[in-house]
Amino acid sequence: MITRGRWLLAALAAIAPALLAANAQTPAPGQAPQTQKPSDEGIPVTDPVVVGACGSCHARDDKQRMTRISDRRATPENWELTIRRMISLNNARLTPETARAVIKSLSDTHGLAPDEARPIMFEAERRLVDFTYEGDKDTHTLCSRCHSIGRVLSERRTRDEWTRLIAMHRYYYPGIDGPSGGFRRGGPPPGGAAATARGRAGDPSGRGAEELQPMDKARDVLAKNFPLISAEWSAWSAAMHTPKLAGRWAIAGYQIGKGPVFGQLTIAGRAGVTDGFTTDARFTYSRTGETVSRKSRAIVYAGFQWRGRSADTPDDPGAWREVEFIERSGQQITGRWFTGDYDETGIDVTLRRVANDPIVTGTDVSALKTSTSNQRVRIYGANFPATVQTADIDFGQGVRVSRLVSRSPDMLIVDVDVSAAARVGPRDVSVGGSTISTPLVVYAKIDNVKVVPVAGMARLGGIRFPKRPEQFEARGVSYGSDGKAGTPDDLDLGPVNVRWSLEEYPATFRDDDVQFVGAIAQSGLFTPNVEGPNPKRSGNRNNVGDVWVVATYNTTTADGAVKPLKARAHLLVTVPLYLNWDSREIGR
Amino acid sequence: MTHLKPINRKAHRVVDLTRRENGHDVVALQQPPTPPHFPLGCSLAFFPGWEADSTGGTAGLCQPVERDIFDCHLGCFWPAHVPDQLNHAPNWTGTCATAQKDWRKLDLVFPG
Amino acid sequence: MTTSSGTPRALRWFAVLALAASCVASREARIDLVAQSGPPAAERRLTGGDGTLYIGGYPNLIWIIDEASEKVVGTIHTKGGIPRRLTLTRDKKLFYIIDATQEVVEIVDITSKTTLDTFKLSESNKRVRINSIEPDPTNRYAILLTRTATRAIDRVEIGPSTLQQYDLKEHKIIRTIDWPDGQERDQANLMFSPDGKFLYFLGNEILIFETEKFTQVDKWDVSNFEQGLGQVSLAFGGFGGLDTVNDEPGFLTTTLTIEDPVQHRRMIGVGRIDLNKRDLDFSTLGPAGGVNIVLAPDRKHAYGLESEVGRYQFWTIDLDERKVTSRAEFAGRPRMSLKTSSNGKLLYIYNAGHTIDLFEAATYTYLRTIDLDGDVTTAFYVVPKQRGQ
Repeated sequence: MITRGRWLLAALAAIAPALLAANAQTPAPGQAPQTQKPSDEGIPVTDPVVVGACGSCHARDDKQRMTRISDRRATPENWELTIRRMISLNNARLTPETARAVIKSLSDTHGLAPDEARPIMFEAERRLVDFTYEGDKDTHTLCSRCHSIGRVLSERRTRDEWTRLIAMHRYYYPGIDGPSGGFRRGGPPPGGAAATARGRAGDPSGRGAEELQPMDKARDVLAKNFPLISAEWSAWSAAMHTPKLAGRWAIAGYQIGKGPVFGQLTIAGRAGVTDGFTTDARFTYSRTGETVSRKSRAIVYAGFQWRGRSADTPDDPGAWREVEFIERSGQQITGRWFTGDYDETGIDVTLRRVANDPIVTGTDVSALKTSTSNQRVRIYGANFPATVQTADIDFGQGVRVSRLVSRSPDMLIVDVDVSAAARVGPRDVSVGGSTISTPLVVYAKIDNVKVVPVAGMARLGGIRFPKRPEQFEARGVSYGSDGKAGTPDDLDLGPVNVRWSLEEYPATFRDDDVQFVGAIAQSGLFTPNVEGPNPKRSGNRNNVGDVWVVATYNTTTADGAVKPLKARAHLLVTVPLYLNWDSREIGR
Repeated sequence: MTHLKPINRKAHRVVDLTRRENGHDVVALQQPPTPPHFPLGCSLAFFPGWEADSTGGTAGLCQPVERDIFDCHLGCFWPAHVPDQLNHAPNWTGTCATAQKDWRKLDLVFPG
Repeated sequence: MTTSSGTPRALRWFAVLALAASCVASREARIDLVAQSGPPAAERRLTGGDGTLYIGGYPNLIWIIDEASEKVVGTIHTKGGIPRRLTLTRDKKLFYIIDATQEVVEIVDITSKTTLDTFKLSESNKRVRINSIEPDPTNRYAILLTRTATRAIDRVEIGPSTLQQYDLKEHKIIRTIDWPDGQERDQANLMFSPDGKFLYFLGNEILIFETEKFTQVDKWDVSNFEQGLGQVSLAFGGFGGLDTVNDEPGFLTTTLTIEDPVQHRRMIGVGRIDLNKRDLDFSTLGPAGGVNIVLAPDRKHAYGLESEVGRYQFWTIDLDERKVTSRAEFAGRPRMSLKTSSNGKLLYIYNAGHTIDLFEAATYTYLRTIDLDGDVTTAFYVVPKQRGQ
C-alpha cells in the first residue's frame, strides 16, 4: 500500500489540530512580521499565474520582484520539490494544473542555462554515477550526507538565498546542527568517549566558534560558485526559445544488459500545452530483435530540458520517464529513458533529426576482429538510398565490405572481412557522405573482461517495498596496440557472454551475506531478496550484505585449451528507501 | 632488528627490504586512507548509516535495521531516506509500536 | 532526598546477607571468547538486584520495570508526546522529559506516575526548541538550552543557541544567561552542586557559576590538569545526557582521553571529578579506542563496551587497582548501549529497538532478554532501591 502525501495531510488535520495550528502558515492579521524585500539583483516574475499562486506569501515590489522566488534559479525538478513543500508544509493551496503551470513558468524564467545544467544532467536522469563536486570537498561531503550533491548543484542563488536555504534545513530538521547533519560543530558526537578517543570529537563544552561552522563555509562556497546572475544565464535567457522539434528522429541507444537499441520516433506538437510535445516511437533491441512501440507526452523547459512520460493522457504518471537535453542546434537530443521503482532500468538515447539527407546512427556490433571474414554488421540510420552499394560503405583501413546483404531506408546489413593487417582501434563508419563517429572498434584478441557497473547497488524488497534489482554486464577488453593493460589505447569490445556467479565479500570474518542477499541470473540481472528481519539469519538481521559479482568468460588458447577469464564487481545489497521524492508533475 | 647484523649478502638484502618496507609503511600511515565508495544519494551520516556503514558495507548497520527505525524517524536522521516525524510523516509509525515486529505496517511515503 | 546513609539497620543487615550470598558466584577474570550459551546453574537465578529500571518508548510512555522480576510493573503515560530526552532528578523522584519535537517539557512524578506539569516556550510563529534541561536541586527553576526558529511568511530565521533560566512555578523565563567568554555553544553539559549554589559547565574546562545572578566565579582547566600529563579531553553525556545515578552527589565519573606530550600516545582513562574540591582522581587504562564506560553502583568497578564493526567487547575495570582486569569478545551488534544493574552483577544492553539484553557481568555470558511492547526512544535509568521509601 502506498501513502500519498496529501492523504497524510488530511489525516493530520483530523488527528492533531494542535500540531497543525503550530504549523499554520497564514499568520493572523497584525501578527505577521514584516517581510524583507527581494534583492536588487532579483529576477522579476511577470507571469500572472505565478504571482497569483505565490503572491499571498511572497510579496512583490514595484519592479515585479518577488521575495525568495526572484533570488533563485533552479531545474524543474527542484522547483517541483519546492512547490510540494509549500503545499505540504506551508499550507499553500494549488491545484495540480496550477502547480504544473508554475513549475513550467519558473523553470523558464528562473532556470538554468544549458552549460549550467549539462554537468548535472545525471541528477534529473536519475543515474547512479560517481560524481564529486571538486570545487570544495567539505561542501560536497556536508551536502551529500542526506541527498545527492546533484540537487545542490541544480541551484543558483544569491548569497542571502543560500543562507535562507540553510536556515530552512535547520528549521525542518533541527538535528541537522548536530553530528548527523554536521551543519555545526558543537560538542562531541554521540558515543562521546569513543569519538574523543579517536580524536574526532570537538570540544565537549561545545565551542570552537573561532573557525567557520561547516554550514557557513558551505554557504560561502556555494554563494561564490553558484550565484544567481551568471554570464551563461544572461545570454541564454535572452536567446532562449524552444526549437521546433516536430518531425522524424532516429533513435540510437543502449540499455545495459540488453544491448543496443535502434529505431525512429516522430515528435509532434501537443495541443493546449506550451512547449508540449508528443512522441510516437518504435525501436528494436538489435541483439534479440525485440521491438517496442511506445508513445509519450513531454514538455520542454527552459528551451532545452525535455521531460516526458510514456503516457497517453495527462493524468497518467507513465511507466517510463524521459529526461533529455536538446542541443542548441535543434538537431540532436541526448538523454535517458528510465523506469523501475528506483528508476534503475534505463536506455541511454541519442536522437538525431531525420530530414532528407541520409544519416548513420550506429551499428549493432561494437567490435570487429582482425583476420576474420564474413562478420555481419547491421548499420542503422535513415534515408539510406536504394542505390547504396558496398563501395559506398566505409569502415576504414583493413576492413572490406564484401557483401551488402540487405538494404532498407533505415538499415543496411553487410558482411565485412577484416584483414590481418587492419590496425586495431576505434573506427568511424560512413555510408556515402554520412558518417557516424566510432560506433565500433577493430581488435585482435580479447585480453580480458570487465564487469559494469564496477560498484553496483540493489535494495531488498518484495513484501512491502519495491525491489531495486541491478543489471550487470560483462564487456570484453583489448589492451590495444601497446599490449599493456590500463593504458589510453585500451579498447572496449562491447558485451560478451559470461557465466555469472556471486562470491562472498568478506567485510568481516564469518561473513555470510552471499547466502541471503539474493540471486544473479545468467542474464546478469541480480534480483535481491525480501526486506525485513530474517529470523533464519543470526541476530535476526536483514538480507543485506555486500558480495562480489563474478563474470567468468571462457576463452580458448592457441592449443585449444579452455582458459577462463574472470572479472568482478562489488555489489551492495541494502535496505529499501521508505521515502520517494521523485518528480510527479514534471512533463505532465 | 637493530641488534642483529647481516653477515652475508642474503641477509643484507633482507635488511634492505625491511628498511624499504618500513619506510613505505611510515608513508602509508601518514597518508589519509582512500575513503570507501558510496552509491550516489546514499546517506553519509553514519550513526550507524542507512544504506551503508562508514566502511561502505552493511556489517555496521543495525541488526536488524528495523531496530533503528524509530530513532531515525523521530530524530529526522535521514530525511531523504526515512520519513521524518517532525514534518512530512508524523503518523508514519502510528500502527507500528516495535519496528522489528510491525515493520509490515509501514508505508512507502511520497512526501508532498 | 535520600542517600546511602539513611538505610535502616535491619535493611542493611539484610543487604549484607544478600551480598554474601551472591558472592558465592565466582568472579574470575577471563580474556577469551566466551560462548553465548544459556543461563547459569538452575538453582540460582541471577538477577540485577532489587531496583527499578526506567526507559521511555513509543508511542508515549515510560516503562517501569521491576529489576528482580524483569517485568513491566507500570507505565507512565506522557502527555507531551513521544518522550525523547529523559532527565532523572538527583533525588530520583521526578523525570523531566523533553518530547520528540524538542518543544514540550513534561515533569512527571515517578511514584504516582502522574504528570505534574507540562510547558513549552513556543508560541505563534516562534518555535523554541529545548535541547536540554537541568533543574535546580529544589525544582524551583531549570536551566534550558534553547534555540528559537522564527517563521516569517516567506522564510525562516534560526536564532542563536541560548541559555535561559526558567521559573518552574511562574512558567516564564526570568533570565538569559550570558555565555562564558561570550562564545555561543550548541551543547552544554550542565550540573548543579548538590546544594544548588553552583552551576557547573562541564567540558575540558569546567566553568563554575554562582546561581544568584549566574555570573562566572571560577574556572578549572581540567585539560591542562597536571604537568607532563598532556592534553586531557573529557567526555560527558552524549545523546542521553548525564547519568549520575551511581555517582556520589557532587562527584562525576567520566571517561578521559589523554595524549601525552612525549610519545603523543592517545590513552583512555576513567576519572572521578570532585566538583567541590576541583580534584580529578583518574586512572589511565590503556590505548584509546572506541569504548564507552559506565560506572558500577559499588563505585569500585566500571564496565566498558567496545564497539567496532564486527567486533564487540565487554571490559571490566577495577577502579581500585586502576586497570582493565578483563576484556572479552561477545556476539554483539551495532548500536548498543551499556548500563550496569543496581547490584552490579548484570550488564544491560539496550538501544535500539524493543529489547534489553541481560549479561552476567562476571563472565559476560548472555542470560536472557527483556522484551518491551514498543521501541525505546530515551535514555535508560537503573535506579537502586531507595532505602527508607
